[in-house]
Amino acid sequence: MDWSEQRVRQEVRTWLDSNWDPNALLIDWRNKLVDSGWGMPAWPERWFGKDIPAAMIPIVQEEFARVNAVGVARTGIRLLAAETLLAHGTDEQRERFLRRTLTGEEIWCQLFSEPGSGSDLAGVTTRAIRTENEWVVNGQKVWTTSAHHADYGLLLARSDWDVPKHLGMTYFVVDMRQQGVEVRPLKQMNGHASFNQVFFTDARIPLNNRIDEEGNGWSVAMTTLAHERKAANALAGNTAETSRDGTIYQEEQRENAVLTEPYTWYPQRAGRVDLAIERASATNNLGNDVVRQELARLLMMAQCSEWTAMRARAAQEKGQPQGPEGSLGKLANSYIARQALKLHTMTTGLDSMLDGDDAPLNGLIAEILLSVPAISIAGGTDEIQKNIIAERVLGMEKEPRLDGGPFRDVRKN
Amino acid sequence: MDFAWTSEQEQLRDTVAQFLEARCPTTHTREFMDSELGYDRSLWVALGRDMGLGGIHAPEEFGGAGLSYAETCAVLEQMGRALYSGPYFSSNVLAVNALLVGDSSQSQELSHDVVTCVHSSTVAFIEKSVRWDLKELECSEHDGRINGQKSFVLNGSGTDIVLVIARCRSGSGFGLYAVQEDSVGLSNETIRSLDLTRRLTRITLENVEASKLAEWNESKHQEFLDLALIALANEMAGGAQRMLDSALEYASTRVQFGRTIGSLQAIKHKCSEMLLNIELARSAAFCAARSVSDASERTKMASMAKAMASDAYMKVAAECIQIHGGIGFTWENDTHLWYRRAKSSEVYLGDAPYHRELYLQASGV
Repeated sequence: MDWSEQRVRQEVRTWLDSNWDPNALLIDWRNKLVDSGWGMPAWPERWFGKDIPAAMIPIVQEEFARVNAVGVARTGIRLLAAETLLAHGTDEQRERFLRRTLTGEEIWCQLFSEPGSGSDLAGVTTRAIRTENEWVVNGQKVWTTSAHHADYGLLLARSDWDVPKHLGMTYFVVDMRQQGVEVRPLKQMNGHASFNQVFFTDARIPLNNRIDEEGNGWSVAMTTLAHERKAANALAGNTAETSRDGTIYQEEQRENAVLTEPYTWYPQRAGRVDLAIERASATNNLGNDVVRQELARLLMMAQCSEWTAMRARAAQEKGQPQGPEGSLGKLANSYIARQALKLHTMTTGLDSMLDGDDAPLNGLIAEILLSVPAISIAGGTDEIQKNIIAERVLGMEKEPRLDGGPFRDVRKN
Repeated sequence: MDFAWTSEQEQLRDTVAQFLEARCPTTHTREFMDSELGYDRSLWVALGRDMGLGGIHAPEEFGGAGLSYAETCAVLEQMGRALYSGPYFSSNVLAVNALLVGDSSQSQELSHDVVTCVHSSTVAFIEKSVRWDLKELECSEHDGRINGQKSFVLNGSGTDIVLVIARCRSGSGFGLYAVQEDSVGLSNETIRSLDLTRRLTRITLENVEASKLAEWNESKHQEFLDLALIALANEMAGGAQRMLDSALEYASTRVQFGRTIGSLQAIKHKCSEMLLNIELARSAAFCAARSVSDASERTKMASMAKAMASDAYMKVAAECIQIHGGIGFTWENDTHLWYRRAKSSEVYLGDAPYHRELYLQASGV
C-alpha cells in the first residue's frame, strides 16, 4: 500500500475513533490493537503491522496521544524480543510468540552477560548441547533484569567450542518456568536488588526454539543490542500520565509497576544533578567558594553534554555526516555523575556518613553516594566506551587480540 | 537555537580551512613570528579584504557583510586550528566589536577602513593593574588628550589605529577613543609574550591627541567583553581540535614494541577523553556564538564558553605533548606553538575558575 502522511493520520484516527475505549479490558484492547496493525505500524502487515515508513511513526504516536490511547506492551525487554524474533525467527516462531509479547501477556528477560564475560560478551561459556530431540543448557547468567517475572528468556549460549569465539554461539528462546532454571536476586552495594543471577542446570530447550542458524547467535544478539540502544535513546518522554480517566489506565499502570520497579534508583545512579543547587543552598554552602567552583563545573558539564547531544541530533536530522558527538553521551554521563557525587559529598559533609532515615533526604543522598559507581560500568564500562570511541570515531588502530583460534583454546576466567 | 551548521556556514568554514591550510602552514608562521611585525600583513589583507572576512558580522552600514556572529566564530575556529598569527582577532573582531558596540556615526565611519583592512586596529582596554573592569580604569581623557598606560594590547605594535577605552575627565563616564599609532606622545613597547604567534604591547600615552568615537559605559563594556570571550572560546575550540588531530596523526605512525602507539589503550583512552573535552567545550562555544543577541543569556554563555575552552584547550595541548613523547617538548616540534597559545588564551580575560564564578553569578546562583 502507498502511504502518505495524510492517509496514515486519517486511517489511524478513524480506527481509533471507532475502537478506542478507555474502559475496555487491557487484554481485549491489546488484542484488537495487535490485529489492527496500529500497535506496530512500521512492521509488515503479515506480522501485526501496517508497513508504513518508519518516518511516519510519529504521526501514529500523535494520534494515539490525542485520545490518550494505550499502546502495545513496552515495559521490560519485550520489544527487543519481538524485534529480534521478527528479524531472525521462523514464521512458526513469530506465530507462537509475537502476539502474546505485544499484548503483554508474556514477559521476557535477556540472558547475555555472564560472570566470566562482561565487557567481552562473545566469551560466553554457558553451554548448549544438542541431544536427539532437544537442547540441554548448563551455565550461569547474570545482570538479568526481571528474570523472576519472566516467562521466556533470550539466551546466548556456546554450542561449538572448536571454532573461533564469535562463530560458536547459538541464540535460543528458553522457557524460564522449568525445573532446570533457577533465578536468584543479585543484591547491589546500594541495597537494591534490580538484577538477578540465573542458573541453568540441565535446562531443556525444544529444537524449534533455536533462533536463526546454529552458530549464528552473535549476529542475532547484535540485532537485540541494536534495538536496546535505540530503545534507550527513545526512553525520554515516555512517562505515563496518572490522572487519566478510565479503568484501562489502572491496569496498564499495574503492569508497568512490575517491570519498572528495578529502575527506581537509576536517577540516583546518574548523580541527581537537579538537586545540586538546592542542596548547596540547604547546607549553607552557596557562599563557599570551593563548593561554588565544583557546582559550576557540574552545571556546565551537564549543560554542555545536553547541547552536544542536541548538536548530534540536529546534524543527523539535516543528513549531515554523523560527527563524534553521538558516541560521547554515555562517557559524559559518567563524568557528570562522578562530579555530582563529589559535590553532594562536599555539601553534605559529615552527614555523608549516615544512611537510611538518619541521612539527609531520608537516605536519598546516601543512595546517590552508593549508586554512582555503577554508572561507569553498567551497559558498557567507561574503558570499553573509550576503546569504541578511539577505534570507531577517531579511527585508531585496533588492539592486537589474543583470543583467535578455536574457543576451546582461548584463555578464560 | 539551531544546533546544526547551515550549509552556508559549512561552506564558509571549509573555504577558510582550505585557505589557511594552503597559505598558513607552521613553516610560514615560524618565519613571520621572528619578523618585526610578527605576522604576514599580505596574508591578513588576503583574508580580510580579498576573501571578505574583515567584518563578517558587521552590518552593511559599518561596511560589513551583515552576517551573524556565528559566522565570525566559525572563521575563528579555523584560525585557532591553523594557529593563524595575524591581527584578525585584534582588528577584525575586537576593534570591529568595539566600533559596533560604540555605535555612533564616527565609529561607523572608521569601521569601513577596519573591515576592509585599509587600517589595522586593536583595542587598548587592559591596564597595568592587569584588570579589565571599567571601574578600575586609570587612563583618562581631558580636552581631547589621553594620559595613561595600557597593557596586554593584542598586536599593538604596527597597528594603524588604536582604540582606547578611557575615563572622560572633561565630562563624566567613559569613552571610546581613536588614536593614531604615530601620534606624538604615544610610545609602544612590545612585551615578550609566551605566545609567539600573538604579540602583546604596552602602550604609554602622554597627552596624546584622541578623537572620541562614542560614549562608553558598563553595559557596553560588558557586551564588548562577552563578545571577545565568545570569539576567543571558538578560536580555542579550533586550536584544541588541532591538538587532538596532531596527537592522532603521531599515534598512528609512531611504532614502539612492534605496534603503533595508537593501538595501546593508554593512548586510546587519552584521545577519547581529549575528544570528550573538546566536544563539550565546542558545544558551549557553538551555543554562545548563537546567543549574542540575547543580553540576558550572553554573559552567562560567554563565561561558560570561556571556562570550558580554557580547561579543554590546556588539557589537550598538554596531552598532545605527552603523546608525542620526547619529540613533543622540543623547539623543532610545532606542538609548543599551540601550547603557548593555549596557555595565554587560558588566562586572557580570565581563567576557568574566574569564569565559573561569573557563570554562577550570571545564573543567579
